[in-house]
Amino acid sequence: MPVIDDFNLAIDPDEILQLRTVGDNPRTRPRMAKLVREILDELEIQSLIRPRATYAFVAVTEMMPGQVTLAEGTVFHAPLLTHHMAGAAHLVPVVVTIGQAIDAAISDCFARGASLKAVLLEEIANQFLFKAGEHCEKSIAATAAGLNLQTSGTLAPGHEGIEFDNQVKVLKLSGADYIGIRMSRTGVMDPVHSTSFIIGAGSRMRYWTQAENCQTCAARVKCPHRRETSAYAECA
Amino acid sequence: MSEQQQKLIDLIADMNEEEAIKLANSMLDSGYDPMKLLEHCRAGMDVVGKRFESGEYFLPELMLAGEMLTEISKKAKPLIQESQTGGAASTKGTVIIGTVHGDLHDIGKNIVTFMLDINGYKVIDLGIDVPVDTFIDSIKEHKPSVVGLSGFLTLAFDSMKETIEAIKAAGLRDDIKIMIGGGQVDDTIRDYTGADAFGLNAMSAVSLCSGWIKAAA
Repeated sequence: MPVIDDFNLAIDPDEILQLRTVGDNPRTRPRMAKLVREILDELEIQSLIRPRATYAFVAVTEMMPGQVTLAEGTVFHAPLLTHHMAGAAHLVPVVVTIGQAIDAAISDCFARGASLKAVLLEEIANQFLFKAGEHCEKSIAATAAGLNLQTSGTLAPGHEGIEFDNQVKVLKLSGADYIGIRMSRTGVMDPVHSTSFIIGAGSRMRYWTQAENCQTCAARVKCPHRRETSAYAECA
Repeated sequence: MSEQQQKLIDLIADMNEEEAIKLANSMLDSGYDPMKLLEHCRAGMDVVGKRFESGEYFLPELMLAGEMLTEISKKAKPLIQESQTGGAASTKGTVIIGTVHGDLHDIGKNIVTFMLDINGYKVIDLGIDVPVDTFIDSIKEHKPSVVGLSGFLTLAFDSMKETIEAIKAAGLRDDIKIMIGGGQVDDTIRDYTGADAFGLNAMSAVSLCSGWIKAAA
């Protein structure tokens, strides 16, 4: 299985301070800004963000509405996937993690009573994971281009129309165990700061952004990490 | 309420960390009743909680206010214990909390644990991926008023249901209230799992515990 480990992820403190989950209270802003800078320095010095990813190009043998069969026998029952990735010659299951060390650091902060640092660390970890996922998308698109293939946007197990139990198949096909990702009985990944998704590859594929995925996600209303497609969407 | 008491509440509510701790320390140094002082701090925390629920404040502010209370408590609690001739400071009640089996997410549980702790509850945190039997053994040992089940993903709901059914089968259900929380919980999930209530955030958990424990008193 190909492994991606050439990540060069960087986060500017302002990216964190602009998140809606951090708020914009002028009284606490200097404290938050100082702490975010300290955390980012600490993450770098201690190498607490350890991104790795693995994926596989798996040929599609049959695709019909709601069901896709892959060459090695796996069948996905996922209406959204067959709708969005119609015409794909390959599906590319991907799994990405930023490692176990950050999970341990967050738990340790809570255990020491440093709960503000813990929640900021969590926000920062999530942003690193999003960036790692975007890096993988680009890397896989470049590999596909070398094979004269276009790539679609991403779909993740758990999104409406692609049931969460598909995650087991995605992890198996992508070779998650190659990079040390284990799964609980219910399909939760360990390390927790990991994510899985599927990309379609074919001669003509439609690309969409994560913000577009957010518009149709069932968790949209409550999700603090939802992305907006435009200023209009933000207002709406 | 005196001007000084109101000032302490306002300083905490408005996130004036340094001044709040300074004023609290000075009140304690001048012999102010530490139990009453903590009550004022919790009143300030209630304002922070309301601002959080209304969307004016965000999670980091909730945590910051909690840390202020923790800092003040470090000085106040030993004084309370001294005044109670060595006895432990009283708590509002005992809450057992854990992330149900099969789920490894602990951020939400840890935030709720922290908020319950600073609001005066004794919290027994069982950790993540907690087997049903561990909940049952812990309920028997600690006799809590409330059990909190946390789970982030939809597949955790079956584990929550299984845990609650096992608590019932062990004959422990009638003596406790059970609240659930996590990513996608709502009233349908509450009904499915057999819990008494669900919470959308840490402040909901505090409000639920407060309501149940007051009603039982």
